[in-house]
Amino acid sequence: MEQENEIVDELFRKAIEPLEAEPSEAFWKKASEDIISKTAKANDKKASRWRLIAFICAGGLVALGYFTFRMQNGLQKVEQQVAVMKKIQNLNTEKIIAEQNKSATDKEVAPATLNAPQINTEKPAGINTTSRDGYSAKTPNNTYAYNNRNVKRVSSAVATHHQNPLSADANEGDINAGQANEPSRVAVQENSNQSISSSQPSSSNSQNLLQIHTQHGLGWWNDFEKYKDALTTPAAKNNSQVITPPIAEKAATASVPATANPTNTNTVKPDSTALKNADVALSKFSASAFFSPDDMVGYNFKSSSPYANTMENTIRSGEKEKFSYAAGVNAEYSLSSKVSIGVGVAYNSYSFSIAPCVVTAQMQSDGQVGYSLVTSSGVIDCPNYGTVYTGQKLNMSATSSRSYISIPVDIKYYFNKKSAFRIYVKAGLEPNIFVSEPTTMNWQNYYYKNQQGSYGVSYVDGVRDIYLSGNLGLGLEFKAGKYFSLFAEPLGVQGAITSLDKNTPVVSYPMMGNATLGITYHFK
Amino acid sequence: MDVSEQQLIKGCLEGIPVFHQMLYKRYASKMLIVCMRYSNSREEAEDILQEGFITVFEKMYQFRMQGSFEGWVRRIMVNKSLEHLRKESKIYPIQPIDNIEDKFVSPEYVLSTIEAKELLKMIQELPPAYKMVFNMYVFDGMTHKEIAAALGIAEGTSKSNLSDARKVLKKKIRRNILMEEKIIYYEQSGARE
Repeated sequence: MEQENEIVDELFRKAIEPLEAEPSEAFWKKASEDIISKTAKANDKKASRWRLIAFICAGGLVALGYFTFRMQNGLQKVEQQVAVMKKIQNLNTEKIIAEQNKSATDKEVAPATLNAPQINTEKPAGINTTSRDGYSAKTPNNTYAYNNRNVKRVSSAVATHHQNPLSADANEGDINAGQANEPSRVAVQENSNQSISSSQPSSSNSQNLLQIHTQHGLGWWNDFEKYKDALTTPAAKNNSQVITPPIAEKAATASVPATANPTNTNTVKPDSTALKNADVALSKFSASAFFSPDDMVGYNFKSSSPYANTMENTIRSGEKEKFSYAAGVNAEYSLSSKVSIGVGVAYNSYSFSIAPCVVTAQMQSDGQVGYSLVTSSGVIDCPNYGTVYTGQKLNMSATSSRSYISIPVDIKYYFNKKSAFRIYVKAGLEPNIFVSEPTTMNWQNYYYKNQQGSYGVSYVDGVRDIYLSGNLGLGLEFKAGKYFSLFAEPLGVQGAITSLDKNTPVVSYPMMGNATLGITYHFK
Repeated sequence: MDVSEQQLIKGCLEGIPVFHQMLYKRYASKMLIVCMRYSNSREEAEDILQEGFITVFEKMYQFRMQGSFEGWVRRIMVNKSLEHLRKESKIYPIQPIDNIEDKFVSPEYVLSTIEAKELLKMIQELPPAYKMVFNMYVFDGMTHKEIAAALGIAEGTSKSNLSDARKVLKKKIRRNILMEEKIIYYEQSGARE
């Protein structure tokens, strides 16, 4: 009987196994339709992903372009102002020279006093005093600084009026005659490097000499770029105050640039803070690089499955974080002295292990019977190399690492204005674009322990292409140099707003803690 | 174009339509027979084959180039056939078998008399429960324990279904042979007359 059964089996095997049957036309038609739709779907998926990346890049470029445009526009305005000021200064210098020459011609002997232009009421550093009749003070090396009445802010070239044999007595504020032992010269240097100079013996008393102290004046102008921000500070604009250049920084022998304001003679001393800031006048635009070791705080789950609690507990207790981090770059724009907005790109990686557990073969979403692991990222189907039947079991452990490209958009609020240390809080949103989740599954036959192996799986069923998270953080920024600052955000939290996965037995909302370290470059 | 199995799989994974077509052409004929063994008709088998190929493409990334790809595709087709029968609730009803004479002729004689396609048809005509067990045991090399686990039946049921399936097939073969012999007889006697 047994033998006859084997004969029957063998008969059918021999007859049928070599058989082949050509599918019908209808089958081939369906197959080609399937291939076309599959290709179109794959292309659509690829295209939509690239569209998204392109959209984000384009947005970033537009933002960058806008900030650059604003910066350039600002610089152009400053340059225009500087050019106008130079022009006015040159014109006035010429005018003063002309007036003085005229006056000298009219009067063979210089008067004791001149119609003085408006002057500084406060002396710049290094200047002894200001004359009561409007003439400028005397510097230690016997040079004189005049305010130019028509120059609104700063007169770079300094006109010093000598009337030999007159000389200015600094202590009395008068210009006295008969003190002619100081050098007498005229030196007018235009910005175009053309110079008019003449020198006369100190004994000459036939002419008023106008001394233009190019040594300091134009030299300072050449450095104007360096100080233009200080000159255009809101305070300076609003008060129409005049900020004199940093005389103290110049050589002790240098003459003094005078400043004048036709509407407001309130000239201030060089503001060391302003000058210091002017030294490092920076753009509102900055770029940062950061690294952040992350730590999984926990998950929130949502599920409609009757086994929800079991699955959630399995994930909570089974998944152990190995190492996670985020690294990236960020561009920041200061909206005000205390508020800034930033956008960046970061690579996030979260690695975890799944503790050994028993998985039972069951019908999967595609109708196949097989093994699958429910993880926080979604469902990972295990590849089957043999026919698997419902109810069969495996011991399974796994390691996995999911990675995302994130686009953090944050707003920062600094509690204090510019200083060496600044404390801030930040809040923002972060779309996370799924990159990959390679998983290694180590299996062992539940009944036959010697049967074991490992699978590499790169697909997670149900994982979202993009999920959204929110960020909160508290940080400290330390100014480490002219252009660089270091920052640390020891208290950062990133919580998922949308779930990591969808259409899975359990959807997960992870919450990560992070401690960020980074460096910022502040653009000039 | 002569393309190796590895190249074919790689091409399919990259989503190149030509390789999809090649995969269809290479395995469709063989796999159709597998599906036909489990189904009642050719049309039904083609539907299962189509679904099976879709699964093959979807799950191809899971194939790790270890073992036979054809074997892997075949298993998918078998699983699809089982799934199809489950959906149609065709597995569980077991029909009683009449007492069949347990006498059988030699395989050589059967093969010389009956075409392979006829034998395939006999399997297709089996009651679903017998058909499943017979296919899984004879063609797919599964044990009764595995069959029982896969179909959710007792091991003893699997054994009895297999035994009954054999009886039915033997009966069909005998009838078929008798029919053939009668035809031959009438043809020969007609020729004599």
